[in-house]
Amino acid sequence: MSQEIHLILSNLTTEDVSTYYVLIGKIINEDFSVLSSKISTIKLLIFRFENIVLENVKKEIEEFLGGKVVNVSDNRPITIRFTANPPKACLEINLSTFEKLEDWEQRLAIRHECAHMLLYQQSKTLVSLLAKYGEEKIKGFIRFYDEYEVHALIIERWMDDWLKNPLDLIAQCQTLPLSLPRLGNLEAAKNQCCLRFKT
Amino acid sequence: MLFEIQNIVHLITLLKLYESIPDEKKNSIRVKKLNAKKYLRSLYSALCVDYKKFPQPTDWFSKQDLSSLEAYFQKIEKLLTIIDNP
Repeated sequence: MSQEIHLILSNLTTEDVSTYYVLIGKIINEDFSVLSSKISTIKLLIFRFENIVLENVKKEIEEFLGGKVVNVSDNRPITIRFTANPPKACLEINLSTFEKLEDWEQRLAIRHECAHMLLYQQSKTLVSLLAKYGEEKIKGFIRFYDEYEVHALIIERWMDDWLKNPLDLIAQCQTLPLSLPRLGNLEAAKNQCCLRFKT
Repeated sequence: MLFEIQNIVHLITLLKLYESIPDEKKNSIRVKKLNAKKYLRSLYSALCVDYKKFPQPTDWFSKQDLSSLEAYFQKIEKLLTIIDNP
């Protein structure tokens, strides 16, 4: 069974985005064929950041994702928003940056986001931790585990591509002072590398 | 405090990923691995200034602990308990 992908257009025509729509459909259906039994619907938003009128699509996506607030990113080439019960996903491609990637990078980025959909799972311990500590304190741990799992899958299936751009500390992190006598220094460093790690 | 622990957790998972690369291909990530190890040691030393109970990062997760979300979060819960009871 092939996965249905519903295209959302904002400031581009179907013709403008057809290459990417075909590419994503091909990757989802060939490399992630199991997804169709896991994700009920995938919406695909393809836009250019410079002149997107978000209001035109925001309501549709927010309703689709059960009220999740949508703010498209100016520099992230690809983003996935995901909601459970029933599992649905909205994949966003920002052509302003995405089309600057090389072919293999585009494929790798799409596969990375598809792997997030494929590996999504829930945990009772996580639910209790969220109740005890709150989302703000726990979300970093969730993110790092998700990224670990996704990268492990990518390494297993597309190792050579992964090795061209392996997960790394971002450049700023590598230049942080490595002798940190007090935790206060780390707090100061936090602002320099709030994104901390490239994913 | 959470920031340091989260970064240590991330570095541990990063190193586990590096370990999964076959030996003949490991050369391309050698420098990244060294940097990650160095940064991990620094973060851990800083953490131990105020929290002496934290085990060595090598003991935070086994391979099995990273094989499921449930096992991972059980370990995270233990780490958070150490912060609550310094």
